[in-house]
Amino acid sequence: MTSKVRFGLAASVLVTIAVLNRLIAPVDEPFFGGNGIWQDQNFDVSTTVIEAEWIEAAPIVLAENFEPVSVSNIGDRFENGIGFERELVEMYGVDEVDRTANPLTTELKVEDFENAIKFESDTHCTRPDGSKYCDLFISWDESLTPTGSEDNFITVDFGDYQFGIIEQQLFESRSN
Amino acid sequence: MIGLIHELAILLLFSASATVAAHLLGVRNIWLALSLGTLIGVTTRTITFSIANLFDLLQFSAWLFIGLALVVLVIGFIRAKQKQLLGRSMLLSTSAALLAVVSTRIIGLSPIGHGDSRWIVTIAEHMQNGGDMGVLNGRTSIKRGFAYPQILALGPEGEFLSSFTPYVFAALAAGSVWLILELTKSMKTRTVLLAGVPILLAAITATVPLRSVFYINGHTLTALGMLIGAGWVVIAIKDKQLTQLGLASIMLGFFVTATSRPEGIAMVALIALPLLAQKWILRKQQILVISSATVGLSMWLSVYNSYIINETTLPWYVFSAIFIGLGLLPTLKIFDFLRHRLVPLAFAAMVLVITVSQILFSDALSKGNASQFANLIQGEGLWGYLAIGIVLVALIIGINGMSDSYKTLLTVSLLLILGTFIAKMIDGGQFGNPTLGRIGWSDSLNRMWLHSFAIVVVTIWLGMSERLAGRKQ
Repeated sequence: MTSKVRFGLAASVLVTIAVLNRLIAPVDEPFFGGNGIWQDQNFDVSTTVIEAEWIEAAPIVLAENFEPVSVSNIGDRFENGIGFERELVEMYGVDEVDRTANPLTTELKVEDFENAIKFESDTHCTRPDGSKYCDLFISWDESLTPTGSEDNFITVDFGDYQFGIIEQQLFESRSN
Repeated sequence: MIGLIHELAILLLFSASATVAAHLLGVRNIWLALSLGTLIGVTTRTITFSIANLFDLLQFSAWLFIGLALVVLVIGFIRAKQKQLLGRSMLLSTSAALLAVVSTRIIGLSPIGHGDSRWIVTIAEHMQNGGDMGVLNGRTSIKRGFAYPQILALGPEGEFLSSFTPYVFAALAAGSVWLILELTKSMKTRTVLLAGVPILLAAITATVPLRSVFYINGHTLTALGMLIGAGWVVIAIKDKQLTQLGLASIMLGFFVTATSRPEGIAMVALIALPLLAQKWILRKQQILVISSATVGLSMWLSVYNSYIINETTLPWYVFSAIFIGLGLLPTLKIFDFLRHRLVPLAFAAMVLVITVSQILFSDALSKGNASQFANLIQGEGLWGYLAIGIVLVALIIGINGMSDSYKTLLTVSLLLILGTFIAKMIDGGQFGNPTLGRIGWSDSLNRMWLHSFAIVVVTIWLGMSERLAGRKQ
């Protein structure tokens, strides 16, 4: 085979691949628009990761809204607890995290806190079916504990792989 | 608007000062000035950040970098020779910077959302705040890179330098142009351009190469370091000598690669093999090439208070000294008989590792094998059918009558492909049996192909050019 024939064959293969890439192969958006100067621009790191409902954002949500803030009953994500990334806890300044106790179980339902939910995302957990993901919400009541104040949160297991990190006074008010 | 002005000022300063630094280093090619300049800027930021961390002055690290960049820009420009050429280089790099800022801050193009990207921007914000780097001692942050978030941290307060990612892509594209032009000097430009059309067409019709323009991760920065390193390795082997500029470029490429991704040091080791195997390479050059990567990784592990150092219970400086020292073992004269056979030995070792792993861990790896088949052959990794096309084209091009440069680039590409598989198996094997990833573009192995993609594209482009020209270069 001469050099030119080899080139012709190789070029044909690549052009065919290019056509197939557009016609048959799975494709997806390479990037998005919508963050332009005339639009509602957002480059703030904390806001973007919270708005994206990032699976690791829980410590950031607490640290961004309360000072000082503590959270208990996180447990061990590889047993009965949930993920609450140590490095983010220290980077963003959640003042106290108690992982020794498992999340509290309760008769209450997720719906009992619906009007106070401020953040929802997946969270890391360990499920018997092999999945590593559970549902998580964070809730507090502005009238009980306004943002910016000192606050304590507890982690609650609602069953069916649903967890909540709930402001303590709110949880106690609904439990009574 | 303040954010836009901030980004514009920082990226223009970065690009202009880095280009001046590249010119002072001896670069007289505008494409190389952009790509190598970017490596100089990133290396400078990494070193100044690490020094600031050492003296608990992290809150001033950005000012340290900015001050240094201004000094280099002003003094360098005054002292520079061939100012007209420097002006053209600066025009290219600042135009790329301007375009990058316009794309993210004015038009508002945004990357695909991904968990790794969010980790990276939070680490960047921590760096920007001058936060205690000692808290980054877990297993997650270390996987998100060191050099890349440091540059993102130069963004406006509470934000990240959004335009840096497309700027790095521009530098990668410029590096590819430089390398192909350098290796096809004696060919007609028209031949080279025509030969490049099919491979570029195939590349831009797949999603992942375009996605990498804005995707927030250290992949394209790693790719840039690897491309420049590999490019100079090929040139040095072709010319049978490693020039001062070539050595400096390889060192910068290896330093940035080793500080951008955890597997970076393994990748640069593979790129260095054909060079280190040469009989003419000076021992001093071997030491500098290897140390550029090991020093970089040591800095990263030390600044991040890495669990890897902590588990040894050694102070960071003792660990670093041992690590850098061990890296120099292959340069000892008694190992010369092995050094000269590094390439076939590495191929044999990697094929053996992959084969044995596939036999011993067949159950654990079967899911990963199926995933890679889906990602690379069936297109689920959003690479289109590029993998099939590239393999076929490499076979059609063949090696008979091809130049030594093509053969060296092909060797490097093959080493990197095998090495990437092994790097993924090791990464997955940290917590049990080795794995080879999952279906989907976000699988880490699927994204790791970005590191060597530019090298593979240049290899195919060179091969196509030589076949079209019908003669060896």
